[in-house]
Amino acid sequence: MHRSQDDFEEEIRAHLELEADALTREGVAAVDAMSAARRRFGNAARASETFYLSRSGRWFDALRSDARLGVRVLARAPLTTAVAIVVLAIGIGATTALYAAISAVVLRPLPFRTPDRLVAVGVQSRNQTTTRAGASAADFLDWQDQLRSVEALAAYRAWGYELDSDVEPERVSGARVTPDIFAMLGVTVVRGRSFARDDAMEGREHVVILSDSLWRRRYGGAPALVGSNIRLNGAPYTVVGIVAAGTMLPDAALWTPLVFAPYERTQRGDRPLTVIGRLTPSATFTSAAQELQRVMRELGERYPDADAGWDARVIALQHEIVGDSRQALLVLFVATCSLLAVACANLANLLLARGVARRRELALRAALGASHGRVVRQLVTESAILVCGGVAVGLVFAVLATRWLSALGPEFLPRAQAIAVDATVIAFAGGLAILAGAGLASLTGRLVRTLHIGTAMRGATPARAAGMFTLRDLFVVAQVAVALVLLVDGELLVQSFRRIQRLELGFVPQGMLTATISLPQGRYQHAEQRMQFFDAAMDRLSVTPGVQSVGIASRVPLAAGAAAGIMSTIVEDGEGEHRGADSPRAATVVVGGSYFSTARIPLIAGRSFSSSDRPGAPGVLIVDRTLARRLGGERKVIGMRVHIAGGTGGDTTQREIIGVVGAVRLANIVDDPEAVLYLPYSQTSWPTMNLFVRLATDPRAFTQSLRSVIASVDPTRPLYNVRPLADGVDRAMASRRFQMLLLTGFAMSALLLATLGVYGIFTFSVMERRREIGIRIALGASVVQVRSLVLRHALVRIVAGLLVGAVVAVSVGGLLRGQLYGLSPWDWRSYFAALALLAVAGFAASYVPAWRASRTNPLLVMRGS
Amino acid sequence: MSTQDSAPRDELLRGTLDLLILRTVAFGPQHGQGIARIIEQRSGDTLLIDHGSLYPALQRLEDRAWLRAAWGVSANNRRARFYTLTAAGRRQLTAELGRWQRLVAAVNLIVSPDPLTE
Repeated sequence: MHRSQDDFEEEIRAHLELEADALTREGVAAVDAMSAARRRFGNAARASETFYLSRSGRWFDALRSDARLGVRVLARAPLTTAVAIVVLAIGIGATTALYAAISAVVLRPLPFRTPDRLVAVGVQSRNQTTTRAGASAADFLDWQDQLRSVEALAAYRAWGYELDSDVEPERVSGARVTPDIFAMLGVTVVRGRSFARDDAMEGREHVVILSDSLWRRRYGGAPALVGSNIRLNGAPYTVVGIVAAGTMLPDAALWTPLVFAPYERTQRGDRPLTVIGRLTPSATFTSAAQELQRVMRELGERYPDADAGWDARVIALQHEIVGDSRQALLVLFVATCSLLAVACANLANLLLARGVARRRELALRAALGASHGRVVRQLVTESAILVCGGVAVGLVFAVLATRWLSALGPEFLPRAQAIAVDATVIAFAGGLAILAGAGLASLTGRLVRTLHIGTAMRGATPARAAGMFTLRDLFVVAQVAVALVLLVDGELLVQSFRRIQRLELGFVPQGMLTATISLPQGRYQHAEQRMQFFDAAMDRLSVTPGVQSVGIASRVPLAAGAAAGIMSTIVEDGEGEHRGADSPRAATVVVGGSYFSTARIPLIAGRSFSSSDRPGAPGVLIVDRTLARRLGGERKVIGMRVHIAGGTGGDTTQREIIGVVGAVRLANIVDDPEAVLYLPYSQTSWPTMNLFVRLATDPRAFTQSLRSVIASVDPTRPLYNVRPLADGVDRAMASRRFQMLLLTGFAMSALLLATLGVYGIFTFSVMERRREIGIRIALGASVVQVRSLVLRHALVRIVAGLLVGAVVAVSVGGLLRGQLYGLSPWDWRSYFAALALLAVAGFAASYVPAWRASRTNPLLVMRGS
Repeated sequence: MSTQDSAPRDELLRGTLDLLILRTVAFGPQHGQGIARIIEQRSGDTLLIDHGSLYPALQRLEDRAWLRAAWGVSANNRRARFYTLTAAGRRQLTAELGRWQRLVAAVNLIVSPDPLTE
């Protein structure tokens, strides 16, 4: 029965009144009746107490009163409380946000049917294992035929599409896929149907499946869309289905069937297809790789030109998609955990100091009958309130951080859209809170034991033998060590970033504006029409005020999210041996106008394209320095006759190398510049090209003029991705910059926390040793002697922390190896800088307490105040 | 009835008090003050108890569902909490009475004069 204390007391009051009445009736004077009744009652307080103790719900009351008291105590020191909560919130929030990122990007399985059986199937060059490639159409068909360890194989190729050119044009990235890809992955087509085998036959392939997001965004989710036509790249396609939301493979907005033209079934030089497969239940990754290796060996013997020298590469699809981000995220995660550790150590230290300052209060409570456990429980409740506050604010912070991370998009971090605070993430935060709370609770228990509550009442401080290793020393060492590790890693990333920034791009991005234009099939079916358009555009642009030069190219260097560019193999005419995988492969870029001078790519030998390189004239091409070296040297290649396999689609034109230009970083900043070959637009007029305009003024201001000039040539052609080239370069560095800034932020926070922590601990330590110091001064110790006493005590511990930190930093150095460019993870200069910074901070933090100690007035101390 | 008593003595006292209370309430619903007065008067002022010690006992009996309690109005129009014997309480009373009588008989056997030595 849950009877309240109040009810019990009311019954006692009622009893006393009844007794007083009875006594009055028996003749006792009214004024004495109540006191007589009380006397006969005995100890009312005891009765109440016994009742109270017998109630089983009292632990809950105790908790409530502890909590109320805890809040009051914390509110009395609002600044400290606020700082503690903020520090905890940042630590927990950052760690939770990163865990959410890791969970969504690395840990969560792909959203397909039994995703662990899915593999990415490809090849890598035997002699240059960093060269990786997909499959040619012919290879893909052979693999489908011959591989027994995969029960299904599908291929796709990223492809750009311009939607509804006549209405409101928009450019999206899509993919051309083999028809059974959705069935293989287990992706549901929620409306309409998936692709059928027939759709991949020539003449029947103008069907398209849309993604859920594109359907909703552009077509308002209209159900009638299925079965109707939309225009893609100027041609009509029938919408046959819509896939379920959340499908991503690759990040495509729509899919069309992949059709193999007859020439593709025989020509093997080009390897544009990305192939994925599903292993049979009995196969393993190794067995599949071995089988593919056998197949490739056979193909290599039969078709040495294209297939010799390639090794099999079969890896889990999830691994392929996630790639390097796993390592980068891991580094950041370890950093946030370290920061959290430092934050908790600081918090513990803070509570330790405040607990000792409240010695008298606690001693009083003990004297009034509070048991040891009761006092501990109350202190623990205070810490629990802080932790709860920290977790609450931390979760808010984590939600904001994850929203920001997921908005960064998949080019930054694969699968970034899935990053969110869900049940597992909240559970993780809860786990952190419990850990933090448990740590604080055990610390509090220790604190109460060591407080010597009995002596505290007398104002005496407990004597401690000098030189004994205490918990506080551990805190100092831990905080300094962690701060050092973070500082070293931050410095390494900064140096690495600087090195990347200084890399030669091979072109000058400043002052250039780029834009993408697409010429649809309808009006620009013939090559002359396309050339006419671009010639007119470039002519008009070159006479526009502010424009220094104009060019066009099929690829923008360091463009964000660029699908792998078109690659071709160069085959020297009259070449005796078949070099297969060792044939020089190069990125293929079609250029026109004064592209090289506009981008400031230097001409090293030979000549550039000119008006003599017309359609019908002998084929020409320009190579870059990297490719020239592979072909025999910059001077030697001029005049060499070659033809290009792949890339340009069955083109067997013989071409002459007429010039060599400087190397350019095309795909990304960090890798060595890949080989590039250039073809003239006049001989290879692709429908989608990029304009490059060099301006004397700020490129962004020219956007409107650019649009109007193009509109004057053809008002129906919109411009996409109009942006300064320098922006693209920045974006290419964006994720590294982000990682560097984040880690440096952590390092600075850790430095701050560690310095404050060290300061706090030693201030407190000096306060504890007041008596001893006072005695020393009274006995004649000089100011310098006192200061050096305190400093020595402090510096020993700080140096210990630096040593531990250095050891830890060296041992985790390997973790950073993949993230650094041109820098070893054990670069001594970075270590030195970090050590110096932290040592100075530590020294300053210990000097202030030392200075204060030397100013102690021995008289005040001896009096015990 | 201090808590520092040894357990057996405490139990004996507690059991006796329970018996007295149950017996008193068996006559009819009664409030705490009334129960105390009845015990004192009926025993001819021999058994004098701290009224305060009655209440933990009453609570214990109520917890065990041997007594049922409800607020009501006394004869003098004062608010009071009345205790009634439940069926289980009646059974407990019978058991306690039996125990008490056996105890008394046992003690009597020891302390009563021995015809042989007297």
